[in-house]
Amino acid sequence: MSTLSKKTAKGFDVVIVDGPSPFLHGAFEVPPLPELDESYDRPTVLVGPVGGRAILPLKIKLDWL
Amino acid sequence: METVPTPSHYGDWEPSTPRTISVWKVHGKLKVKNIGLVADGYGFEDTPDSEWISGGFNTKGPRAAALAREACFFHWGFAADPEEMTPEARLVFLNVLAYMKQFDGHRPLQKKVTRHRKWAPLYARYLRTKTSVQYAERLLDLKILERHEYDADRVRAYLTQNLDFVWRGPDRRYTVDEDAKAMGWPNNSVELLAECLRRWTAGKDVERARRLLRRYTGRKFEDLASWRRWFEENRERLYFSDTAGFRFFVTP
Repeated sequence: MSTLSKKTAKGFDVVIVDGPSPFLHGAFEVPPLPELDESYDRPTVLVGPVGGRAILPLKIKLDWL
Repeated sequence: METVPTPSHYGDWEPSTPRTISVWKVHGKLKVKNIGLVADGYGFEDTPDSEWISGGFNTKGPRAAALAREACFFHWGFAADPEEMTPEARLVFLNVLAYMKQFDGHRPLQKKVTRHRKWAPLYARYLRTKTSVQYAERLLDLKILERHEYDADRVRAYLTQNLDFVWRGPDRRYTVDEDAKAMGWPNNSVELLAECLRRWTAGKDVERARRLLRRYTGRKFEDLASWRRWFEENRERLYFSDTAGFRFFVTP
């Protein structure tokens, strides 16, 4: 997932960003997140807490309340 | 769908929330502890590229977004893997994938730089305890707090009644725009801009009109003719966004 970018998403109709539970090993821990920049424009479904965190650096409405 | 009692804390956010809500089940108890995620549900309607689709049961409020879209991004806030989703949820998820394909190439129109005006009345709750008053003072116009004697219910009621004119002022506090109120149109209505131009043309309220036009468009024309030309060229494509900075933008 950390390698997700506009380039690596090329050729896919839709991208799903997901990951195991952050509590899988006890304490809250998320995997390395992709560095999506403002050029990213592939259809992308952000699943749960892992998907939701991936988008935070873009500072758009899809945030974590 | 089934009808269930609304979570009791939802009324703190929106007093008009009904006592029951219609829900459908996305998943049951998960095998591994996990948490869902909701986005701030206020403001999805204020840009043409985003949509609030559904709330859910959460620890926040009735409008907190469990399902929402912005440009090419879809927020699926539920934590369950497909194996743990209900059959209905799997169908919805598949529909989401099909739905999203059309948004290839769509980048978000705006950054979110502030919360929507609907947060302003909610911040009045910080007046309820001594330790949290500082947050109300940081977020809300101090004159409003003083005028209503720091009474949480009165401040909330005032901001709710004047929601059409709420914006985030120069000091970054949520306040009521008395200039817009004097013009008689909500600050997020194109008619406010039209009224400003009407009055300026008639030689009335010129300074107020000029102030409002600049405040809510980000443009700095000096003369009326330039304002009128800009407005006529862009009127049909204007949209107002609280979250992008309480101003009008032109759809590309």
